Amino acid sequence: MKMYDVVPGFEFDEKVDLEKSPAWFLDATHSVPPWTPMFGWFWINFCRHGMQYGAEKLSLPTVKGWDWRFKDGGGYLTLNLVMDEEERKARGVRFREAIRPFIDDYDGLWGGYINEMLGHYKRLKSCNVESATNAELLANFEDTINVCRRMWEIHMHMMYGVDTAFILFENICKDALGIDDTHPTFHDMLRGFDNKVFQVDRELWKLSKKAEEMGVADTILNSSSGEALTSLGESEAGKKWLGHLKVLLDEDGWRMQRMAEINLPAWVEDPTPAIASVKFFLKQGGDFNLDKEREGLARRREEATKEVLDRIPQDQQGWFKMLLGLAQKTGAFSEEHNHYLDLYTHSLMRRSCLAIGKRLVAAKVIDHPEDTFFLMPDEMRAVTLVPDGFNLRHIVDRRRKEWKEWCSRENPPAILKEGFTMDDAMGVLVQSNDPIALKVVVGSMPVPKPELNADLYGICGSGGVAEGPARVIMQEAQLDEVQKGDILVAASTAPSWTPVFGLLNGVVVDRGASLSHSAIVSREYGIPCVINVFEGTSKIKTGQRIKVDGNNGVVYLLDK
Amino acid sequence: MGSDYQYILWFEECSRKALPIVGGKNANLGEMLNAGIRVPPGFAVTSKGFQRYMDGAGLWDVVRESVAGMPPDDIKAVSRAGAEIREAILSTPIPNDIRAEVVSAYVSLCERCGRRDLPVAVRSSATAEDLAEASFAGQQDTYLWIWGSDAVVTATHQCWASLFTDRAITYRMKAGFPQDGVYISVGIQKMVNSRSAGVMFTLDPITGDRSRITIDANWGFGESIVQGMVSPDSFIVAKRPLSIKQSIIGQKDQMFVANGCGTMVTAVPSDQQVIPCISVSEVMEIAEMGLCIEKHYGCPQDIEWAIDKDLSFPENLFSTQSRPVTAAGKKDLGKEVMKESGKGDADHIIDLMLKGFGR
Repeated sequence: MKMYDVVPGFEFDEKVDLEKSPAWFLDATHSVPPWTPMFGWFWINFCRHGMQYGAEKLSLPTVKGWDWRFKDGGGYLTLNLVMDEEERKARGVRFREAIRPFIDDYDGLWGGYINEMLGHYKRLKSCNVESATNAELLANFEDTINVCRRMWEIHMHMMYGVDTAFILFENICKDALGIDDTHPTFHDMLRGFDNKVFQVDRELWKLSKKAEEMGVADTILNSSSGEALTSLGESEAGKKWLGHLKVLLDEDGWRMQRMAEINLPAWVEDPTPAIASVKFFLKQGGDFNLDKEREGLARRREEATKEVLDRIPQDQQGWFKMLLGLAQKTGAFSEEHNHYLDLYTHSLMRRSCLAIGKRLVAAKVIDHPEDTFFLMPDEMRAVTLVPDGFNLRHIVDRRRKEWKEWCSRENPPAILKEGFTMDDAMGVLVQSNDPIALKVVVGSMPVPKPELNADLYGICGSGGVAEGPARVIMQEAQLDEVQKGDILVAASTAPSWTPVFGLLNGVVVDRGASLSHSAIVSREYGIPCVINVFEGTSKIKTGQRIKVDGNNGVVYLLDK
Repeated sequence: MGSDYQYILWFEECSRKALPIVGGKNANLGEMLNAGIRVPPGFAVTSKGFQRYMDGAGLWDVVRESVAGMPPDDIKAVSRAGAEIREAILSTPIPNDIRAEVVSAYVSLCERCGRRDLPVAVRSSATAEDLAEASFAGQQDTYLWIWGSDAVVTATHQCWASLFTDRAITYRMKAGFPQDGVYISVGIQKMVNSRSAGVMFTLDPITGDRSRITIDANWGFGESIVQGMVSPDSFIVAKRPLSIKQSIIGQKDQMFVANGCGTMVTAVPSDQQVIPCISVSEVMEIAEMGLCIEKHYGCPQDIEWAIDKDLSFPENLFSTQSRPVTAAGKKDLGKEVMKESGKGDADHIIDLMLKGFGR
């Protein structure tokens, strides 16, 4: 069989693509480390589709979503700018109506989408992957592709809408009230809300209490997370407790360890990360600390809101409160969409690929079910119904070899046309006024403050000051090493890391924006967080004492 | 401290209760100290001293005789009476025991500041009870850069006499206060030997944002900032939690320095022009003091502060003046985002979003 490109039609082609746009940016948040070919195919096709769909559905005046390319496992993006003034105006007129549902009935809009997606997931899950025929598995695979496409449509329609509102709120606070997004009052107004990710954590906390009642807490505490599953399976009480865990995970365990990839097990397959979370709660003891935090935060929120409202004339308070309400939803959405959208869909993509993979292994087409991550959907289509006589090992081997090579080096942060500088490129991003680009890609760049004499300069993700030993974590599997009082240092954090925050005194991440996971969760836990320090994981060593000053957005290395 | 003194109260002892004998200015300094707000150290010569002096020397009779039957708008008569009274006072020496207490307190103050012949400011502080708020500000004299025991005693004496300046006499006559019912206290306070100084607003004077403190600073005395002579170092500090949000280091080419009898302008050495004139911990301490003062007075304040060379941190940071910020600094929500009446809230939000895309 002849080999095709990894993402046909969207492989980066320097000659053609630099003509289309002079600057392509690496999506470092999602495609570092590099994607497997199958996941890359899904992302490049459908994230791209979703962004264009979302921007068009909202008729954003300045941008028509993003274009994406695949290069060496990296996702490279550029913006589809609306250059023509007349066109911008016309799009603005349609935007007026299109954005309205976000303001009039945010909960109805998002709630409706959640229900729709849960319906799709239910249908996909109803396929019994053990007993289904190959034809049914292929139908499930095609359905998964469609669900992924739809997920990205919803994802980007929502995200463009809420981020537009959030940016407006940020600008009003900054320009009209003098409170920027590094200001504690700003964060105080937005935090102290529950969301689905916290709710799942609360259930896991309850399971930690149950483990204590059932006498299996020590088994969990004394074994490494990897072994805990086996140790628990050896006792009756342990088995019973695992039964409780299964009930929870069947409902809420459709999430991946890595945010944007399918090559690691979902929780529902391998509950090790869930058990690790339970272990964190056991180590920490006491109540579910988020609930306790939240009471205080909600009180602070009332105060901060009042403080700001006091400065707003009576006749202007109506719209301000309405906008504030929408901005407050944004934090919850930023966390919760991962649960209902990306992570859930990705876990079902994995499930579908592995199910077909098993059949292909049985038919000796490939060696391992996971080899499907190195195939393309067209190849899956070609061999799933009648696998007899096919051998795709050479394709898998060659792509895996390439993938390993991608993983061994770093993709450049941007690919620029000759004569086009990074500053020019950033200028284009800013000019786009693209809400997602502004919150995710550009973010706020740290400004060095020499008078603070700090070792690392970032921006405030969450206020406060804390000192403690650093714990540099490069991947989720290491989370087990975290001790109470540590300061987490990571490239970035993901939703499955949330329970660890309860043990932490502070957080430092290389990349992030005010709406990134580490910042939102730190605010909810009331611990300082400095984001965008860029060199945190390379300059800080585990065990080193560091001081995180979230207020000033800087980090001090106390023993050098 | 001053327990052995009959006529002296250290500022720390000048509570509101002491107002009748130390006057408004000194009581205010005492109140600030008690609220944890540092002011340059010093003491009050209470009005008891003045009273004993006037009574003992029969000077009240001179006052009454000089002003008897005088119409308030007869400038010449007022001027003549004032001159007579002041002459009588200045030619009557201060009793030895009072003089000894003033000298002794001054010497203690010098020791406390680690300097012989410490320059001080000598100010009168009116005590007329009904005038607690109707300030006599500017109606009596203030003597700056006074140093040495004799000079301090002389300045005190002159302060007493200044209760009878032409303006003060006229003011009392017009306000219906008796000329022989007012007493005077004198405050003797260290002149700040300013290393760096400036002003602070406990809000952002541009946006009116009350969650921030702004600080401007230059080397030397604060006059250079008040007069806008240099581009100062400026700092924005968030109040809660207290943290520096922005620092801009200015080009500070000139400063005011002390020359023994006042201040004068001089060039800042070139190596100091572009380095911060206050450290991070000093910025934080100044801001902390701002919070304390704002809390004490219950509203945003415009504060003059200075850092003293003679004392050590943080005891060397002083508030030298504090007044409420006038309404001018309270610009809230900008006009450009205001909704017109009659427009729907959602429509207004959408208008703003569209404006945002057009930025």
